[in-house]
Amino acid sequence: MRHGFDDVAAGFDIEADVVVVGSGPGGAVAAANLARAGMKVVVVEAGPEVRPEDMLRDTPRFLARYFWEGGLRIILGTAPSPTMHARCLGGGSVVNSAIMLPLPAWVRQEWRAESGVAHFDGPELDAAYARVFARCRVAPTPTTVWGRRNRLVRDAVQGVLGEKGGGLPRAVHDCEGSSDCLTGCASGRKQSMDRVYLPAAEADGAEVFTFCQVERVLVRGKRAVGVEGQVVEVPGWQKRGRFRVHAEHVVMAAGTMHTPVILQKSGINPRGLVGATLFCHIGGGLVGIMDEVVDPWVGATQGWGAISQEIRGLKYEGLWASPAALMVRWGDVGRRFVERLDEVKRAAVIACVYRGDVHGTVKASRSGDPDMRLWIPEHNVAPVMRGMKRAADALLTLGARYVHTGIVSVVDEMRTPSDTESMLSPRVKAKHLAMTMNHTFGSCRMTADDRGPVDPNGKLRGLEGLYVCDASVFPSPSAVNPQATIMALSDITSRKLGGLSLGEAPS
Amino acid sequence: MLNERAVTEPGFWMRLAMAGIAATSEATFPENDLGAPDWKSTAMVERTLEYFDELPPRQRRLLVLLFVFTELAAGLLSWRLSRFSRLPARHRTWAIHCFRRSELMLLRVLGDALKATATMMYMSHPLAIEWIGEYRVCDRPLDPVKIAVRPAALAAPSEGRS
Repeated sequence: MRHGFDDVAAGFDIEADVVVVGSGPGGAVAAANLARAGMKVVVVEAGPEVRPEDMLRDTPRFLARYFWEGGLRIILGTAPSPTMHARCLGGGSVVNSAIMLPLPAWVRQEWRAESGVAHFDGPELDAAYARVFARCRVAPTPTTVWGRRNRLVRDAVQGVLGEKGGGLPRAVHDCEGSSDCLTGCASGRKQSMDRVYLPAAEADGAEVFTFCQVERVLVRGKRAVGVEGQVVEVPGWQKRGRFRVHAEHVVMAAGTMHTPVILQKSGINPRGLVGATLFCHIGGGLVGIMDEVVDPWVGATQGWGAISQEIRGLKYEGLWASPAALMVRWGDVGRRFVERLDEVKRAAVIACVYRGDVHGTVKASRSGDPDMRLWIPEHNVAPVMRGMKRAADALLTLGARYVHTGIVSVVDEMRTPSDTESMLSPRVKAKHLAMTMNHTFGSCRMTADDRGPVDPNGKLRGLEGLYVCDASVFPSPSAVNPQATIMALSDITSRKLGGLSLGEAPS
Repeated sequence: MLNERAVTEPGFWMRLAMAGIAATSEATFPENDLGAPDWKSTAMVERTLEYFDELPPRQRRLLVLLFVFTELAAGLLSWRLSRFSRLPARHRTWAIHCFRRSELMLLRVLGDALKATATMMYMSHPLAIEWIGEYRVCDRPLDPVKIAVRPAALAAPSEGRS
């Protein structure tokens, strides 16, 4: 059963076996498994449900309503960068490109070695991936919806650079190629959590409450016994009633930023490890302005990609989004930018995503929003810029008029290979990288020993009844888009908690 | 609808912010002879204020503060003893360009924030969408922002069209 604003506005006080905080990929999978296990499950989501009629191409308004901090969240540190986290039913799965890549084998081995958690590189994770992939109907993006833009990215990355790639596996069934992933899939083709796992949980008796922002975990003795928070209306941001959910188990799935902040605000911080770490992918985007008309708004948002064999930890992928979001760092200002608007239809965009070894922290700020800092080591700049230079050269080889990165101290409009050499200049520092840090992880790491606050069962150390089921538990960056791994790890943790089989074949 | 309070009785700070928004909008998307829509035809000031009303209170205050700061200090930061809105539009454009290319992190953040806010407002206006030739392969009938629809474009990608 799904509760909207009118149901919750006055506040409520209820009981359940388990309360799941957050309805994104981690929370939704946990809710479905625990409801299937026969538990009385309550899901509390801070944001509203995004119905097809709410999926506006008015990008600023959409970001303001359905993203944390109105889409204006910034990670401070070496290179202050935007980071976009959905605040709606289904979480990031509603507004991302639905890319579902399992961890590369070398990352799995590294995670297991680093953390000592056996299932990071064991058959349990394989089985979990198989289950979530089957349920979300994951399949490679078909060539029929690539459009010219994704084909150009393939021609550049695979054809020129020799990096083998393909149609990215995504949780989209019968994609229309509308390039509208960022503002939600109005046709319902994307298999987001509000359409797949949450309805399954509801069918097994779970209750889902929207507009309910959890502020604190309730603790009695050494046990979590529920959550409390505030009903917040959107749009308008008016505070309404307060709510409490009393439960035997609390599953935190509020995301890498909010899970540690809620725990810290609740005074739950075993050995100071909650929020003491934070990782993210770094990188940048290149815009190639081609001679031909590309019509970049045609085709799957991120339809083609390749994991680099040349630069370990680097991934190339095609990208498009609403120009209102994509072009905020693109080009110059004033007449020079207006003159270039005629070229947007000739644009091919390649995103370079690098694993790196960025480190940071998350703390609860006085306002209650997360205060995030990330520090990029200078030695991470060289592989990022080398990957970007290769992609820029490939676009020029394909006949691009020029390539633009938006990075200070790099030639603004690179027209020749000697221009792209500027990307390898020692003048390019970590602080110059221009990126959006959307892949964030590791604020409550899962480890076999007590170096991380979460144990291999997903339970927070030092407190009974509290589990973490989101990207917070990643021990280090995933090197690929995190959604599949968030879901698979949540699947494992919630199955253990619910007493379900870990080896069950997908139905 | 435009926030009436903001239009009919803007307070001191909001008047400064509105001056900063107008000064930034004109500098980033000036009137031009290219035929492209400009800051006035895309109603950037009014739509920016509407956008502010959609934001959570803290982010709304931060953006108001950004434009108040711009109005009061961006002139000084670009070597002119004047409010930003009283500088010639070309100087304002140059100032934002320089902020974005600065080696000083704070100036770069200021320049990027001004460019980002202005670009987001401009590029989401139907006139700008039409000007760049943006269209979609499928319609969103419930969306008030109407974008041209060409269902056949995906089946016949524009390979080689110049």
